[in-house]
Amino acid sequence: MMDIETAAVRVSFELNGQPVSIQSPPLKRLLDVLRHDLGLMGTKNGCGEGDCGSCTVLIDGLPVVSCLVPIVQLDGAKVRTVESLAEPGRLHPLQEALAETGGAQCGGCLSGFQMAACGYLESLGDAKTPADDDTELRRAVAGVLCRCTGYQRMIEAMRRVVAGGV
Amino acid sequence: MPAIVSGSRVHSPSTAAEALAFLAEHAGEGWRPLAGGTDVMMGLYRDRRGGERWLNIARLRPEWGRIAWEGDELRIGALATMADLRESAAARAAHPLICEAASAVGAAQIQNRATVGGNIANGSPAGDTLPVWLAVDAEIELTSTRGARRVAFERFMTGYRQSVIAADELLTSVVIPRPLSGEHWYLFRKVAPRAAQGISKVVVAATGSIEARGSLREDESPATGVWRGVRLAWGSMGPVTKRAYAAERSAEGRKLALELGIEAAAMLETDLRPIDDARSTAAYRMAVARNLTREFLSGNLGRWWRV
Repeated sequence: MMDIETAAVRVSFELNGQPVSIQSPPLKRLLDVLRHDLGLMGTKNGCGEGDCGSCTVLIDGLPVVSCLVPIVQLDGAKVRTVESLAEPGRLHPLQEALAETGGAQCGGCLSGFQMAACGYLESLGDAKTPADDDTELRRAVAGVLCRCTGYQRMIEAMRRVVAGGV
Repeated sequence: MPAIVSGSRVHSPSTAAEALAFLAEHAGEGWRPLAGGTDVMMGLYRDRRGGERWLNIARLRPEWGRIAWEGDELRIGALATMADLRESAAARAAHPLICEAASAVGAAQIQNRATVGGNIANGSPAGDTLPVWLAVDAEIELTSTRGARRVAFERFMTGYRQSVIAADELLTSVVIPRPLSGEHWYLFRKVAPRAAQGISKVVVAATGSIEARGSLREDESPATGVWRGVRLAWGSMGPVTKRAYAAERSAEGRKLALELGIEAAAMLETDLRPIDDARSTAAYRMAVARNLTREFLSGNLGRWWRV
């Protein structure tokens, strides 16, 4: 049990497949730990109020906004950021599709969009049968605000991944 | 480093019993529960607050996050997330309003963290699930080392962000009675700037039984029947969630018709006193509430639910 007077806690979790253990004030945001303590700048700091979705990462496979997650709640969790998607010299299929459709523009929301979309696409598993009218695809990424693409190209990229398999 | 991250204290009990014992021992020292954190963290960083004491109960989900029937009651653990609720067949069987409200909270990224207990205990007048608990006659279970007690949701909130929770208690469950069999017409509607991530200007959970001669088809208008036991529960219309009793009573035993809808809509002011604030105006809120009441009670707006 943590000493209640202690200002810092040790938190151990898995980040992009690698074990990480850090000493941190308990209410530090996961977003800040990723960017400042661990140097992973792919996760973007947008509104900081859980509204824009730019800082979306996956915790145990589920998309969450990292600006609202206190690090003390990360102990034992599996975290994935946008840095986990591409392999050296090879883009993730969603990234390929975004490049093809023009769904990647200024980049402000792009990391968050990719993680929200991946969380959803991976949850489909083998049963890749979202509704024909894109309702489910759109709902899955409704928590990400994009001011460049008009969303259509991003949804088209998701549709291509669904058609081709992730 | 902002004061909030360096000056706050967090205690993380590993069992429910430990959490309650800690609260009993430290009641009055300002410890507050931290669950999904979606509202707490937003407020802490926006206002740059520090030096507060938080009881981190998120890891107690195995004990306090289950959704299950117990006899004729559905027990929803306070640490169930909005995503749990959205996907729960048991919750849908208690009332589809519950799942529709859970789907309307924030977006997927919020629903995966935000908890049932947080939405209630946080006490925002705009909490999206609150009118649902009122509409389905939910009770709130509060637990301490002294034992558990239940409070009808309607009596749980006592004012703006004020409730009956004592300093040594935690909100541990929402309990919902098994629905009456029959045919129901219901509506959940959140009116916000956009569908996802909006904060409600008006939110309504409405439901009632439809008494009809013979069985109604799925595509049939409910207007061939009469209303029984209507509930019109409103959020974002004042400091606490409220039912529109006068309008509800006016519908009892009446046919679903535009005439009834107009008449009941005019009675909303008996129970509701909406306010002007940053999100909307009293006049807009009342106009929207009247329109929703009229269309719901006349059977033009809503969905079937058969039990």
